[in-house]
Amino acid sequence: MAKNNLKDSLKKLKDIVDWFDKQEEVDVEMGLEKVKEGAALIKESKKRLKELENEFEKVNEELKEEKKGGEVADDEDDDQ
Amino acid sequence: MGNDLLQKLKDWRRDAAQKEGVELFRVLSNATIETISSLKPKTKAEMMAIKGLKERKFAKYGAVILALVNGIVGDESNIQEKAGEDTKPYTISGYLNLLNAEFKKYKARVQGEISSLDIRDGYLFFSLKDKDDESVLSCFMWRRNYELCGISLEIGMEVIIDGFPEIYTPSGRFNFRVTILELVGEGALKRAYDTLRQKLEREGLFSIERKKPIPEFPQRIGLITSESGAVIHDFLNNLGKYGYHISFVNSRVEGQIAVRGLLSAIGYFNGKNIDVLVIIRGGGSLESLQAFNNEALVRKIADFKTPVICGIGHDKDVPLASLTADKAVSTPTAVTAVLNRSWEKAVNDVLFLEKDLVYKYQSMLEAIARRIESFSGQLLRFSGVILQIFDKLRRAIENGLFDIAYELKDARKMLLLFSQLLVDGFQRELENKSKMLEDAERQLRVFDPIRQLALGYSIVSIAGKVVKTTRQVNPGKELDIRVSDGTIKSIISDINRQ
Repeated sequence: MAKNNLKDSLKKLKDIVDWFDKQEEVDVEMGLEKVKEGAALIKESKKRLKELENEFEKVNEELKEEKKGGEVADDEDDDQ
Repeated sequence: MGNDLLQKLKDWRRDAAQKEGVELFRVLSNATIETISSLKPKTKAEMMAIKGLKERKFAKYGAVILALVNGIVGDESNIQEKAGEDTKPYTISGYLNLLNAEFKKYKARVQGEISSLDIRDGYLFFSLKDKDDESVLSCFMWRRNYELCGISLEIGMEVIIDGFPEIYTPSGRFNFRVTILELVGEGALKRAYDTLRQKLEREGLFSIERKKPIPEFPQRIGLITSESGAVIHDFLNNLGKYGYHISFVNSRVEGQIAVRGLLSAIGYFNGKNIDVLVIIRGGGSLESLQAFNNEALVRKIADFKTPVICGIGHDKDVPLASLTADKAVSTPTAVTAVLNRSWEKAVNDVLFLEKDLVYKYQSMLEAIARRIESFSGQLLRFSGVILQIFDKLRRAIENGLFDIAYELKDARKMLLLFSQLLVDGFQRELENKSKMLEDAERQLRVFDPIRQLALGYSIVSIAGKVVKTTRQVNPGKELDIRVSDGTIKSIISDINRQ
């Protein structure tokens, strides 16, 4: 689940909860559908928020510089 | 030996790049170094056959590379002898390059007062003089390195220079090649800090409008700090386990010397797929935080496209890098709090929304239950009313029936009474009639004409009709004369009317 999906899921969940607040006429069938949808979103969100190990990568600057610079740049020499 | 040589070449290249203040690849590329390590060239011709080594590079580094290949650098004795070239004299440039390569070992920090200054387009010369005696060190510095330091040199200013000695081969002049400049003393640093702060403030570099929001749920983190020390450990230990991908670039963070590394690290992350760039270090004085008050660094942070979080400890004066960053806190732990915030909030939000959702649906069901209860209550009330009406009707019908029954019973009694009375009346009437009949019978017996006939009376009739007057008869008519023992037929002969 991508972080945008998590963001979307939380937004959808809030919308579902708000939906219940806005109902003047009770519609149990629709309410049940909303609860089912909400339960799926909660499950999905919890899955993403479950403890997940971080990845740590130390960047090898030398390699990076090499790729960036390509072949030897012999453009700067003493010019005093 | 191959690996040893490769490592030695790399070490030499690192030193050379650092001393010259240039990137590693500008000295020699990895491929060139690896080829040298592999082929181990013994002569200029062999070296020049290697890709990436041209005449100028050879003139500059050839002697020291050959010495490294032959394993003779580091020995203070005659390099030429060690290289087995004692019979052949050096060229001037070759010898000076050899000396310069050796000089680079004498990298140093030197403190003194600016006694002369000559700033040109691409470079500058200045002299550094001892405060106590008249010793003078002639210095050379590339203009870009000078500008990188963010210091405006003035005569009389006390500075610390970082660099190495060298001989400029075209003139044979001895110089100290300066790579880094530092101001000396908190007072000077504070003045430089205040001046730059005011300048950048006027440009609006610290304005809130410029600051980019820290994205929610950051995942890819670019991290710049020193790999030594507690800061990185504090950061990693306090970072929540939300599947962060941390790309770390090790950089010096102490003093003015850190500027180049920090710039390089930020440059590395430029355009990389990261959500946020984190720059952290522990607290320190103005002197130790010089790099974070460097104009070039501050502008690099300001121009960085991705949000930057600075977690730099400080005393009184907030580092200009922190003022420019999109988010600034004082400790690495505080940075993790910023990064973790949206994740932790999401965890709490999910729990809250889960409870809220259940609560809302329960409330909906309870509302339904209340409504059903209300309906059933109403139905009960209605049915109660209906039952009451039924009961009332039942009672009314019962009462009516009872009344009818009573009336019927009464009527029956009356009927019985009347019938008795009627019977009695009939009986009495019958008895009376019977008596009357008896009386009448007696009277009839008394007045019976038959009985009178016996007494000598007779009854005359004509054609069945009793003759009561003479007018009823005419002469010649036959009369029936009833007597007690029969009838006498007679014919009227005459009538004598009175």
